[in-house]
Amino acid sequence: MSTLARKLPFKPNRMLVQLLLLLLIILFFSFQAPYFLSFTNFMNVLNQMVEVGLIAIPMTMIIISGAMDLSVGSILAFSAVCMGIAFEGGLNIWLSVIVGLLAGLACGAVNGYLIARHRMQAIVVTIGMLVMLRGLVYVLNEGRPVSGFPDAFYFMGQQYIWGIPFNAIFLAVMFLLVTFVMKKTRFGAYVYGIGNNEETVHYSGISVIRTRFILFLLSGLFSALAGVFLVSRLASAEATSGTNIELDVITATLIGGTHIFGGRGSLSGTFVGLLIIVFLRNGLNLLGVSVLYQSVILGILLLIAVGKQKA
Amino acid sequence: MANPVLTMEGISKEFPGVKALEGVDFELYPGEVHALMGENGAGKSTLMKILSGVYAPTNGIIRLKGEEVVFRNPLAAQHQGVSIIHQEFNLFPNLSAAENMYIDRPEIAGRFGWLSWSKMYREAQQLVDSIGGGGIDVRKEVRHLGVHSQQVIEIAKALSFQADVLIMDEPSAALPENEVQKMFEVVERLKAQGVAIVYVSHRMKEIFEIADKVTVLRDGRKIATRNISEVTEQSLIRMMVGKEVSQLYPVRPFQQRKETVLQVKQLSLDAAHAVSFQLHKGEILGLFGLPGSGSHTIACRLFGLAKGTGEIGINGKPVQINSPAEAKEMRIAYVPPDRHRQGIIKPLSIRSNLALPILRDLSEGGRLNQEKIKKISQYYMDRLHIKSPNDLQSVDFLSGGNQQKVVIGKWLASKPEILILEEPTRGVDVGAKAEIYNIIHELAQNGLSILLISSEMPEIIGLSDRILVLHKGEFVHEFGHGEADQEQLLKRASNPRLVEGDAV
Repeated sequence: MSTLARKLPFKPNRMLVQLLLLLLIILFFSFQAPYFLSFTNFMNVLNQMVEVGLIAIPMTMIIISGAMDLSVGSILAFSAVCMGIAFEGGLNIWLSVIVGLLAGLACGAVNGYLIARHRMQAIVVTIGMLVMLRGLVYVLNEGRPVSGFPDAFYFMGQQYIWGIPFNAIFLAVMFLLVTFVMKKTRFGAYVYGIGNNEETVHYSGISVIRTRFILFLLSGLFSALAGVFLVSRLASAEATSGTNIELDVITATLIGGTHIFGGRGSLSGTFVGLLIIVFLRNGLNLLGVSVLYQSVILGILLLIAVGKQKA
Repeated sequence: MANPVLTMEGISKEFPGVKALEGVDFELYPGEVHALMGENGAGKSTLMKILSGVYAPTNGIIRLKGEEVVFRNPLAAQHQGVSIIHQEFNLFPNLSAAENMYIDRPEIAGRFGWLSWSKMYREAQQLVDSIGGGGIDVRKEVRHLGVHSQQVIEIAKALSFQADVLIMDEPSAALPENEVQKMFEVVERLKAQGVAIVYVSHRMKEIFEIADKVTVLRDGRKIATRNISEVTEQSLIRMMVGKEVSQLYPVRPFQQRKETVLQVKQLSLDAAHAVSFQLHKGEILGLFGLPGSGSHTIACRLFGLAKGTGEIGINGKPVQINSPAEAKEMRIAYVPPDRHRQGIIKPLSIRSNLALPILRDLSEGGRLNQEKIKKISQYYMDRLHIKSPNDLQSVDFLSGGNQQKVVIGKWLASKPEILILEEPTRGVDVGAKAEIYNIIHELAQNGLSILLISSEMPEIIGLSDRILVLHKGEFVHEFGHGEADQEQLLKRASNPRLVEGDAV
């Protein structure tokens, strides 16, 4: 440890570095863009990060377990469109939401069955699902968006409670809930165990298959939830919804310190990672920096963040 | 005597916070096999890494044929005539033996930098033949070769650098018992060619069979160099441990057989053919066989890691065991042979590792009871004398022996009735071995039924109440209490038909 570090009253850990980075970003844009540091802007940012945030929860768990799910964006769209079709078919809106969630669970179950039970490579399976489901989404509704949902439904994505967006509150609750699961329950212990040494977990008389299956089921469910929230926020279920969302999700997870080889990581880290990328995007938007340059900057940030991770 | 080919003088090596070696002298003469012994952590591997150019010494001089040398990296050491063969082979399984030998050798290139395949095959074959590997086709892909052949390829590869000094790190570890002799023949040939060999091994028997001299290290210092004729097994252990280990194995008095706990009938799968046996309460039953004879398969089957035909009964009731989780339900525990891959989760704490199999019992309403986990973990830390400042330490920092105690502890915590131990002291030093043997003995005294599978014959003989010998997947002999000796055991396991007057 360097002498500087020794003089500090605390250990300079990863979390601290991330929080400092977040603070720097917020400070920088506060000076550069006058509108940035306002309650309204912050709340808007929170409102818009919910879909990425919801999916980042299971993604963090899956990456900790040493796997990957690239199909989340397609599951999001598939669930959204299933919900839309159910609604157009005359189903009650809340029942339609349930149809959407079940669609997501079904996709997660297929992923989980192939990956956990048949030990297929997660990346391969989920790329297959990514491509297949996206195609299926277009086939199902011929690429036509569904809209005209009842007002009560827009509550999920558009309502603010005491100035705070409802969906952001929901996201925060989910993060707390799953943080509890990861830290305080045996399921969480299994996930970390599998990410560090799957074979030992298996040899300890614990079902690795079940744990992995549940993880992909959760991923399907949360992707579907994100789909429902997205439709509610944008008032329309579209075939292109969630395209490339997996890249933002994985970027946030990795910047948040979750190890790409599994075994290490935390939801609190992912949460900070999320804030870093959404505030960075938002600030750059306010400065009028083109989306293309934003991608360049995010890419570099990711490389720096993950550059130190070695097997 | 001739001049030494290699002298190391006053070699010291410091890592941040640790002195790995302190003022070690080492001399090596042409055509001798020099054994290097010491417990884990004594500094053997550090010394060999310095000699082969992996580490630079903090202090000290290396002379090769009288000239002072500094090896900047392993390749430089190889080019100057010092080669090392690691315990784990570094061969590419999908390349041919010849390609493996010449992969980093520019001199095999032909015109225009093209590879001269014929030259490569010819030279590789010559080299392999010269050390007694005549039966090996160097055009074959390495994955199709047996372990012994692979080792010959490794040796040939090392020699292709015109090695004067060859370091062999635990060369018998990867070999089945019956192939060790073949490896010795290769070593003898090299000796005759004047190659000096550093032979690093834990196995006493081999040292006395093959070595001319032995140097013992302890805690980073050289204790002594002796001719092999001047030492005994006891005196070597004393030098290695620094104290008398009078009793490696606890005395197991003869016991009347109690009730049958585990009954296995006509078990068949893979390597095992229609195997039947019984395990009694409080008994240590040894299963011995050469690698591939089926003992590992039987353990896997009993622990639900593999499926097959046959009947298993526990306490008189027939059971189905389809997964390790089901085995655990039936109070079967399994300490697997590969501790690093199957026994521990290295980055996690001792406590997390100890609690892993029983987390379900430690959950209350979905939430883990941290107090209980702490209590159990500390109980087994004390009970098994796991040496660590506290149980929150990552198991990665523990010695092999202590890691193994963690694996045993995590299964004891599950309160098993039947404990399957496979290679319980692999890579564990002598001191910790004695401790583990005592633990096993005590457990059996307290009524635990133990199935002991080991390739170390002294261990099987020293601990077991009964020994069943496996040959090609079938039981060929049973030794009762105190009946077995190493020679008999090996004979029965290698080729039961050779044993006279025995209708198998």
